[in-house]
Amino acid sequence: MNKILGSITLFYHKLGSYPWFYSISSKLLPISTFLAFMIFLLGIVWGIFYSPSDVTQGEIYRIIYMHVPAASVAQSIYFSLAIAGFVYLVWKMKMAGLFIKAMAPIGASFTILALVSGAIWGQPTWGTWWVWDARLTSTLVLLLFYLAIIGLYSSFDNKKTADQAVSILAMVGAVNLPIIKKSVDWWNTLHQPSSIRIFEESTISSEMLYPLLICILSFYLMVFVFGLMAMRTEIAKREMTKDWFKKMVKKND
Amino acid sequence: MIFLKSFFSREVLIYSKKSSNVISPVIFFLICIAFFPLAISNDPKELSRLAPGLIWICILLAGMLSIQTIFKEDYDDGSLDLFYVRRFSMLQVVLIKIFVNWIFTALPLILLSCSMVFLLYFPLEKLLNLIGSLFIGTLIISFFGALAGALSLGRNSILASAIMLPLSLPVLILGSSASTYSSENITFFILLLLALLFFSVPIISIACIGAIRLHYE
Amino acid sequence: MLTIQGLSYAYSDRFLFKNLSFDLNPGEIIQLKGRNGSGKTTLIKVLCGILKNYEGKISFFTSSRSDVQNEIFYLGHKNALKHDLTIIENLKYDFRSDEIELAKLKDALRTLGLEAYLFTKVSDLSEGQKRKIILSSFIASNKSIYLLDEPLINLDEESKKIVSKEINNKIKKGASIVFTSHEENILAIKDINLDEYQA
Repeated sequence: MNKILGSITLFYHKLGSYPWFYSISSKLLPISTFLAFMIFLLGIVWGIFYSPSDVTQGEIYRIIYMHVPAASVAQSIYFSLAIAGFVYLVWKMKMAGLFIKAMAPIGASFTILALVSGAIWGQPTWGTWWVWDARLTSTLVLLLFYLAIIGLYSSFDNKKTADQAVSILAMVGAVNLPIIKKSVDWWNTLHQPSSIRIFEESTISSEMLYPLLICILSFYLMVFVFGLMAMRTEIAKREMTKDWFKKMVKKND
Repeated sequence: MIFLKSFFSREVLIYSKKSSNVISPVIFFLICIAFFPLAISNDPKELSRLAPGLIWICILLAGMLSIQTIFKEDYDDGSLDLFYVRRFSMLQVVLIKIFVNWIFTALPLILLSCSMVFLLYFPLEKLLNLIGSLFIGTLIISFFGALAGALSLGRNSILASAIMLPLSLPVLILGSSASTYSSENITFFILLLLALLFFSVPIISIACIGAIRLHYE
Repeated sequence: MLTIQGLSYAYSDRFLFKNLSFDLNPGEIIQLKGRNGSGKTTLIKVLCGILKNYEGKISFFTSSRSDVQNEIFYLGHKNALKHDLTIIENLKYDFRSDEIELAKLKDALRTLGLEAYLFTKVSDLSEGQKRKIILSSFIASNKSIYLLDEPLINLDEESKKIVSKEINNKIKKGASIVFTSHEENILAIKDINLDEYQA
């Protein structure tokens, strides 16, 4: 038991070290990029060419293979930011602050992708680009939170202070997001019911489900790759003047 | 206890000496309200249907202007430094500052919104719901605004709005619903607002103290 | 008495000063020197407990039993004055002067030539006069440790002399003072040049 705990603490300390992360990520990056790309290709090709068309929606439903993974990733990233914020404030782990800075723009991009792909999907199926329902509204607010985090970060000169500020905001936002979603839900049920039922409880056939799951997996891998790259860039920015970084650059030349 | 009293009277004195603190939100609120009928429609039926939402949005925006600068003056002139020197409880400082700000900026707006019965044809029988939901809702919004102001202390105010407004969305929804729907739903929304108040006050106060502390590193 | 051991302060990974140690006994006065940006203001703020993430040890010993923080008088770079309040109101709600008797404060204000302005709004006063308001609560106060950041800034020559004399009086009464100034007319027993403590 103690051995396991010991190795967990060791891993934790290693995770907090910039040089260790930089070297391990340079090994992880090629293989994970390759995996992400291949799995994405598999999921997308399967989804677009080999899965059956939907009975009611026809071919347009295939945008699901972009939309659902993007939406799922967008939410997960936000909650990972909140967890990182907690870790940063409680244990003062530098890497967690850097993680928030690196991941926020990625999360924002996926949120935009989810919103845009949702609108493109909605137009032909519901006859409108946008509906004020709980999911769409809370995704929009999610985007606002991402933008607030990015804006707040860039307003500080001192990186450490900026990390702490965005940690606080990420946590408060994460507490607030479910409340927002719930309150839009209540509001929606009270308003005159909208003529279109958007998210009907439908069972998705397994032929459609498998490629979708593969796509979701590939999006998470993609986020992993983008995250690694963004974090490496951020480490390079912060540690440019440090000895270990100079040494490493020299070695690689 | 002595500190509480003296700090409270200090805050009240500062607000009462500067009448623009009270008047600016009121002017802003009235202008906003006046522009809606001119821009949308002067049909009493339509206006009375839109009234709760309009009142809530205008109060949110008017309150936003003043709450964001709540810690700015004390930060700029060095008063916050003194609180740290004497180890005053920052929780008390934050709570009193928010409360006094609420008295001087939100309370006049709440009273003023009674006049919306005439200006926006707000249905008289729902006035109590509106006032009740405003009382609780503006307090919650004040806390979010104070957090936004504390995070963006010494930065631009657009950033503070970008932080505060998304956080205030549930209050806006619950508050305007409470003043729109018929009486059986009111207790539901008022209770939800109260729950949100008791839930957010401790969290946001602590976050606020941490956010102010950030600027002292 | 104040003892500093191995005090360092870093701002975004850069040390402002490193490994600073000194003692300050009752009746002693230390002048902090150094070029701009050498951390004089920061050191004062660390000593009085505003900035907390320093390394090293700061210990206070006071004869009285009350809280050490109550024995500190801090005069910052900024005056902490509320511009819409009068001098008297400002002094009443300033935590440095709220416990001092009004007669004593008025005496101090008279010494600095502010007695005619008691009910004037602070925003109508000049920068030097604003400084004098805080200095008058410094003169009237009775603490054991004084941390003064640029006490003489914006003052005319005559007032500088008056304040320097008051500083000497405080030392004679057994107070300890740390101050920063570019002036040479206050007699400090010790100089600490922060340029020598750079990383």
